[in-house]
Amino acid sequence: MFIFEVEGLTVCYAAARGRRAVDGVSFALGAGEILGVSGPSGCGKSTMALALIGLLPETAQVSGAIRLRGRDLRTCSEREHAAIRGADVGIIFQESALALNPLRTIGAQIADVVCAHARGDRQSARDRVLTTMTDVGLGDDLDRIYDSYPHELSGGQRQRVLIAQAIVNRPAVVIADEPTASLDASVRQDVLDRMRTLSARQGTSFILISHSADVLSSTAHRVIEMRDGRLATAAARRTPAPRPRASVSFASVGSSALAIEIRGAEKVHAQRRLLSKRHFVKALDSVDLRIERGRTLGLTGPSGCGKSTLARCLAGLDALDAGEIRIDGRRVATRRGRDRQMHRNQVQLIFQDSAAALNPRFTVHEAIVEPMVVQRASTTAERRLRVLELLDHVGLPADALTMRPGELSGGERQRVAIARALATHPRVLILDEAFSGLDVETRQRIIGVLQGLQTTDGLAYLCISHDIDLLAELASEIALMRDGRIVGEQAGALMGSMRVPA
Amino acid sequence: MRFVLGRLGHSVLVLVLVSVLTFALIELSPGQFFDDLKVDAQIGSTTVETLRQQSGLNETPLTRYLAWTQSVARGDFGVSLAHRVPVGSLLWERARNTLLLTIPATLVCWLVALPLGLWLARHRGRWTDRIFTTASSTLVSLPDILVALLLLLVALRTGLFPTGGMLSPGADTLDAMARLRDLVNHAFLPFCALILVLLPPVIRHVRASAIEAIDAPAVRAARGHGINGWHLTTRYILPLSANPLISLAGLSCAALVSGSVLIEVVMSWPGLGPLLVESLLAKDVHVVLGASMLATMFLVTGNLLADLTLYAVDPRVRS
Repeated sequence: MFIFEVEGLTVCYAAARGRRAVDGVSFALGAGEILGVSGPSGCGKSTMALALIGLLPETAQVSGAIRLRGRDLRTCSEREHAAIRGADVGIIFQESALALNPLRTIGAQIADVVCAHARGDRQSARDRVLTTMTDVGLGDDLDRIYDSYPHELSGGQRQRVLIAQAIVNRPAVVIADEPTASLDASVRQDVLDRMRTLSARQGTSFILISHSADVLSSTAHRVIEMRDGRLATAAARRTPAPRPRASVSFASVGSSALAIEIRGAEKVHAQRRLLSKRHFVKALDSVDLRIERGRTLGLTGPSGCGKSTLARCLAGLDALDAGEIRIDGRRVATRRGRDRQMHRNQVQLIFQDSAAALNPRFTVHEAIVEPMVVQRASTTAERRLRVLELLDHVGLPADALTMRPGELSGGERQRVAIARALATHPRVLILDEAFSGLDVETRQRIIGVLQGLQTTDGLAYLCISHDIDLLAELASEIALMRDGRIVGEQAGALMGSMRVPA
Repeated sequence: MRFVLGRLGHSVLVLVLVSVLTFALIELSPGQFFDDLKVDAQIGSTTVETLRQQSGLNETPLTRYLAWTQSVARGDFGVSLAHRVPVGSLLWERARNTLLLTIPATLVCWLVALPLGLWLARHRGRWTDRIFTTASSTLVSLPDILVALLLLLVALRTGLFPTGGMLSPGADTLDAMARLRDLVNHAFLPFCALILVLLPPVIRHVRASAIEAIDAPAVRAARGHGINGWHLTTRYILPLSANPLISLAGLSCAALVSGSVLIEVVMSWPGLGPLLVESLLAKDVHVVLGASMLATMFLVTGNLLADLTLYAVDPRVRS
């Protein structure tokens, strides 16, 4: 008996001149089954997820059948559909910075999902929310997180809030679109284990969309692969392809002088409320770091430990409360005006939410050319050539130039962000979970590009990630951060077996 | 608290700059208050000269500006050359009449625009939306004066409403209830004209912000969790679309004194509008200065209120 069946699901947009985003996809899901969906970025995975719960915009033409316990959801009215969403079918979205209401506290937003489907007071909803928050690993400091706003949490914590929203009503089916992309390794394993437990004990079925072969092979009972909107193969429990361990030599260019030196960095965040007292969180606590030219430092640690704060300070977006930063031996922490502009040109940041990092109104060309326009050091023709060169570096075709972020997939958007970061010829690149939205092929290609730049230009990278395997592959050394402190530093090769304590 | 003090200091600076600019503009334009008398054959040039001397118009512009700032400190805002009374009391009487018209109109306008704009956004693309959008863009593009004249024409043809003034002649003799009825009767036409002018742009702004909020991933995610109807509108769509609307509401505070000038002139409502036009033409410096200070004060206060509201509702602004 199948609980969820999809037959000949097809989605096309009138604007795309009949090109089908999803083309005749059929599959069936048994109770308690975890179905993995893999495929490169832009293959239609996310569109399919939206189609399954009836959330595509009205401009999309959907055909085929979607049956939940035999009932065709495509014939439901909007009201009936809303009653099913969040109660019988849960969904986990991938861009956690955008998928939460910035003006409402975390707890209220999870409680909203409970109250949308059950009669009952908010107090009993609160208990249920707290239990679910503990379940998804938001356990410590529960009350503070309950009353926090989304921008006060780290990317990993927000992602867990999205998971809590999806499972709080114990739905029969959960559609998870890259649910673990921004979680640290141990919590990711923990969340995946929890999914398996839920599926085994309560018979919850999962549609797990991921580009990571590791995630799918360790969790899914069955994996289907999508390519250009179609199903490619249906394999039972694929064995993961052995990860190509590139033995990259990080040849230092010229002298091995320090590209970045951070000494005694401190930063305190205040959480302000309208009426009650302020709350202080020490995000950076006497942090020391060094990266030599042409080398890569990996930085890892549990969600909310201060990794992203360090990245923002290093890039000159936030000022340190104490301590100093030197780039190529020159102190930057207190510089102003012109100097600060130089600093920002030299250090470029690539964020984990590519959708939030790009202006939706800019075309790809406008986005990449903007830093060069701000610099005012080149002619229009030179800029045009440079943009094409950068696009080629990150593996995007030239006809992407006129597209806007909304028309690109998550992976393609991230490549645009990387091209934009390279536009100012930076000395240091900070990659803040920059690879978490990319499929394996794209990721390897971009890593190749970045390593090429490192040997030719002597760029230094600070690579922030929860993925220890990725860091071990990329970085010569890896630093471990916890509660705003650097608690350990080791050579990359030794870290392969190490796990981050949650 | 530091935020509020900073904004207050900023506001005072704006007021000073506006007063200097207005004063300079009046000075730079040709002519002075008593120039009309010079062409009158019955009045000798010595008389005009004496009048100018008495009013202090022979002093340098700087001395006159400083004298005016002293009068501001006293609270009377200078003396009107035409009316021979302190500008403060003159402005207060006229501003009261203007606010009597604009405050209810602005309130009604927002009370109608918020639900209507949200409703149009949620039913985007249907025929009701198309009709309202077309109608409002037509009204937005009509000049105020034309709207006022058209309404006057209707009033004249039908004879249902008085076409000017605020009270009927002899209204002083009536009892309170009858006077109020008379006032409402006179106010109805300018009130309608004001609503027709104010409402369409506000509806369009509400609709546009709400559409942006509805398309935001956060609202899509909320719908994905089955949140819909009233709760979705009040807790997700409205808060997400509120920021630009709060700023707009701040600006519409400025329009409380300056937005109805043309309508008041056309419909002879004894508010600030006719006084301002008359004083501008006659070069009655202190009245013009006082009126622009009043308008600026409303603008600055409106913006300050809007910023404080934003600070209160948006946790991202606070941090």
